[in-house]
Amino acid sequence: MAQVSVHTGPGRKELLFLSCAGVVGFFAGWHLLSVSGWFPKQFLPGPVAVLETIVQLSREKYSGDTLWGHLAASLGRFGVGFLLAAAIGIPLGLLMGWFRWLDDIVSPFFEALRFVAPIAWVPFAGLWFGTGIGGPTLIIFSGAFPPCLINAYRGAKYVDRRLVEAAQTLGAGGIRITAEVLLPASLPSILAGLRVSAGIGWQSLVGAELIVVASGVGYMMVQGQLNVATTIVMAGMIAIGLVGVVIDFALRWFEIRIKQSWGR
Amino acid sequence: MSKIAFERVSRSFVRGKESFEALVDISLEVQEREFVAIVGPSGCGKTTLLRMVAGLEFPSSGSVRVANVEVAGPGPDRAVVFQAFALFPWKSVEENIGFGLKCRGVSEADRRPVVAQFVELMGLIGYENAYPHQLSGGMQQRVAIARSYALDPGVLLMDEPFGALDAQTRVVMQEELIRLSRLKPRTVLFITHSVEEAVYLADRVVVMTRRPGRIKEILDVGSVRRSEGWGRLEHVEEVMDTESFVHLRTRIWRMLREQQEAAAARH
Repeated sequence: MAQVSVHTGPGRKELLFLSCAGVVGFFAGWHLLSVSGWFPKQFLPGPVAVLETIVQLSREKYSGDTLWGHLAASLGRFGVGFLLAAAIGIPLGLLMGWFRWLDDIVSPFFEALRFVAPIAWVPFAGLWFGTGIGGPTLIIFSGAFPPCLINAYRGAKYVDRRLVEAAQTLGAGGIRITAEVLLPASLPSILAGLRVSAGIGWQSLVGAELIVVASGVGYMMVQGQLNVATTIVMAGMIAIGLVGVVIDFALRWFEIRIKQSWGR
Repeated sequence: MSKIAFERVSRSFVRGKESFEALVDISLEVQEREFVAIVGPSGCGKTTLLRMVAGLEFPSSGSVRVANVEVAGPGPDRAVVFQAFALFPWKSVEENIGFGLKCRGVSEADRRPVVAQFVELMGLIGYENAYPHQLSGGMQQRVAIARSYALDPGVLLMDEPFGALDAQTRVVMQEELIRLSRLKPRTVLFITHSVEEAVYLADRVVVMTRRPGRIKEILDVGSVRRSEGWGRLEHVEEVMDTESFVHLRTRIWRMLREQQEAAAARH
């Protein structure tokens, strides 16, 4: 019934085709521009040259390490900052959602600090924690923390009241209501928050590495810039983008699985 | 004894700077194992009455007693069946039904036979491990009723339990409830919008006035049911077809219409 499919828009196959066409078109355009001679080769290398650089970087050290080594350093910092943000942000957000007085105490600080962008923490982080693991971790933390807190807070604040009442009338006490009603009811919102938080954390990380550390993908890119090695800079950007997609994909998969089993 | 007693109960609310009365001077006794339905115009405070028995709200003056004890908060001796089911979406059918027993500290091994009994009684066999979202509205409400009954409560509070169901499912559930209340009689307070439902299910029907809610009249449906032999009729539509049923229904409708017209005249 091909005539009826007008209403359903492009199907799976068409969508896949369009996505592929977009990617192919982008790289073809990039390649054509780079060989056109309008820009110096040094500033606009072609996709093939960048790919070669990626392969080379994954085998040979550049600014102290291979691409994998730099990525591992970045992911390590990201992991610590992200987990710290989740470990503090989620419980604090839940408690703020449940206890009005805590909400009243924390909210003013939080509201003001929220507008200090992660990158604006860089000077402070550098002064206090230096360029080792501490500084960059604080910057990642400052980016990843707000979404963790806000979503846990919303999740806790907007739990369906009737579910709590139902549990109460069935004889559940405070601890059981927290563990078996409030927490699971907030979980979808918490998971959504973690995804946003991971995205912002990963973005902030590279910003931090551009300035305060001596390893990581961001550092590698700065070294590339100093040496006018555009292929290195572009290779770094592609690596950051791909890793970001992988992180987001993993968290989304986790989120969907939980929601499916709960019918949300 | 699981008698419910409202004694001169009033309830007022404060909204912004205004305070208004929702319920005025309600006195009512629901006897042990009696089924009382409350009907009335929207906003007459009938749900508030039920929530006060559940211990989820409290009177501004007067007292609500269950088994001669003043209600101080929610408790498993008074089970509530909510209109929107209020099932835990992250728990399976079995886990939902067993939740109250778990709260009571009953071990999993001891819960299993009780849960299985209610799964069978409510026609939920084969759905034990399903999650609420996988069930139809009628099935969800069966789970909710089973969840309440599993605690063997003295008092059952039902707040428009079938209001969210389609007409056919609703009739099936009404018959189920009749069957269940014969099998396991409980003291029931039942809130509904449906006059038919009230007359079909209840021993007594309480008709409320518009806000502020007062008791307009209490009809003894039980004696009519017995003298007219409704109990021998198998289906809802047969009962609803009898002259005595039609007569009662019309009487209640007339009272509700008077309330509505009085409200309209005031505005």
